[in-house]
Amino acid sequence: MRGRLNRLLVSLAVLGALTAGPIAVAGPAQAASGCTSSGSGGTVITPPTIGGGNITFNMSVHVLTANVCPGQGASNDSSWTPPACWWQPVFTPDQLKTFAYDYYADASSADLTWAKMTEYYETDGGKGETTPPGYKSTSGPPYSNWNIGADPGGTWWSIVFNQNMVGTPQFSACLLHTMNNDGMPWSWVPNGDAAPANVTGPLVTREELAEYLASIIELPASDFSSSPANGQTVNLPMWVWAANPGGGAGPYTPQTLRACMAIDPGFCAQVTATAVSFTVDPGTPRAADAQVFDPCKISANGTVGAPYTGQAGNPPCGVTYLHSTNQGQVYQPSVTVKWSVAWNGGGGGNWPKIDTMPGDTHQVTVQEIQSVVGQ
Amino acid sequence: MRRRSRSTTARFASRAAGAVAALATAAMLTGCGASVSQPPAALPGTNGAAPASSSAPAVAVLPVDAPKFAIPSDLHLVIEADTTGDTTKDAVLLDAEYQFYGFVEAISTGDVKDANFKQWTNGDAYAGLSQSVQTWKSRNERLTGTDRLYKRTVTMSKDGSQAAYSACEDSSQAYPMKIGSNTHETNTAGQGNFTLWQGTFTKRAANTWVLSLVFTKSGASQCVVG
Repeated sequence: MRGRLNRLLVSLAVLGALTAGPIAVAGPAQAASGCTSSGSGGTVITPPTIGGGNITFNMSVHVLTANVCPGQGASNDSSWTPPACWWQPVFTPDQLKTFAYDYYADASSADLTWAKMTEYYETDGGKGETTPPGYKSTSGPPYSNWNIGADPGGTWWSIVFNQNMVGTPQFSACLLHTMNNDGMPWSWVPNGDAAPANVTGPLVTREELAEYLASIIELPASDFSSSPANGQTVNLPMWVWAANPGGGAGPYTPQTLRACMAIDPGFCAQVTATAVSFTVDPGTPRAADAQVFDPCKISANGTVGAPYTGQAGNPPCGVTYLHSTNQGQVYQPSVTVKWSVAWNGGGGGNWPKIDTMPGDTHQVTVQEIQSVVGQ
Repeated sequence: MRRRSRSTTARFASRAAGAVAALATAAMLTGCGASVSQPPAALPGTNGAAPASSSAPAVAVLPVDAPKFAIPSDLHLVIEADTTGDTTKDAVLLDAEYQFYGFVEAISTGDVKDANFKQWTNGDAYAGLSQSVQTWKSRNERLTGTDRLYKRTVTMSKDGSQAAYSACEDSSQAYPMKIGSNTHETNTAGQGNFTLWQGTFTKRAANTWVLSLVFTKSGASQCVVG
């Protein structure tokens, strides 16, 4: 298979578009997401929309958000590798011509880049307003007038980057694959055709699209409820559960994310993350200080354990502390939820991917029974 | 996989690679570090004072035949000497230096069509960096202080037509300043002042290179100093 991404790489986390580095101004701005942005205070540059929408997500708002900064809450799963770059449809003929004239054309200099570019994409060396009789979009190179209006229809492809890979060897390797075999940045692909034949860079495959989805899917933070809320008592169980306070599905239902290459060759990939375990850490200095009721099974509708409503006996999920906390001391119970992420394609490789979401920490003080009785 | 914070409701769209592609989107996308860039860096001290330390790296000096760049007198660009001895790579490094000077000149003048800027920047890089220039202009600000480039590297493609470029930028001593003002703003970017730049220089003539793609990562571990 030509252009397998994995040839170049290994590892990554989240992905973004090409990003140029501006010199920004000012200091850190608190992004709406709560991330600390070290970019400009208040100035947001909206990415150009040229060629946008080549990949459409069924949950675009959900997917393309970043309410967790990379490295802050993202998992440390290094067992698999989303791509650092790939070739994909980027411009329609009209869009490409506009882009090229806006950002490459330089009439004031003998810039070989532009001269060669127009020679390759325009053929007439001028404004490319004419298309020779009998010209087909596949007649080039050289092409005529950026293939505007030419049949069969198609798109210009170029390499795109996963900017979250900036700084990795994989990303550096990508930087040397930005041109097709003719030394040009865009390759023509008629609608229905699989991919450019004249590139050596990576082409995104369905599985790689899934890798990407797996890298950006957002999983619920691991958290739990416990009872009683304030203070536990030695030798009496603390119930631990996870549920939707309003009823219905709990927080750990399967999460799915689907994306499609919307322009030919169209294909879709879907990943599904399923919570497979919910592990309670009692947060005591010594394991012997607590007894954990486990496993805390995750139900089909994403709940864990049973809410405490005054029941007697041991909980299906919970902790019994065997020693009280000393004055000023707290135990810090937490949970970790492990997820298994699969995609709707063939097996093999590093699928399913396993990811763990460490939990928030609660603080618990544990009292001797006498102090409770005394209240 | 990312952890979803339950308490967060505000969300912002960012451009996934999937979505857009070919455009260098200048970085100040709100958000998480990866795509964010920061102010160019500077040297300790003001008014161009070189670092006091005797162990300070040597500073590259522009060749005598270098183009003239209109850099404000209170802004000092410091590029650590990094000659490789390889003629081609050194040509790329020199053009990268000019590219940076041209970009800073454009920021200083607020002119995206600045000739020195355009000469060494095109394509996606020009699209993206132009937006940065526009941003400075719209804020009526320019840069002052000292901005330093270091750890610059070049890797050539097999056919010699492209060069992968990497550099660190230290903007910790650089500051935005309102045009016409005598005092600069504060720089509170912290580790965000250390930016990794990675891009592709494309050969357009013998020993002449133009920056066609560029990406930045603020606070990149490779670049953070101190």
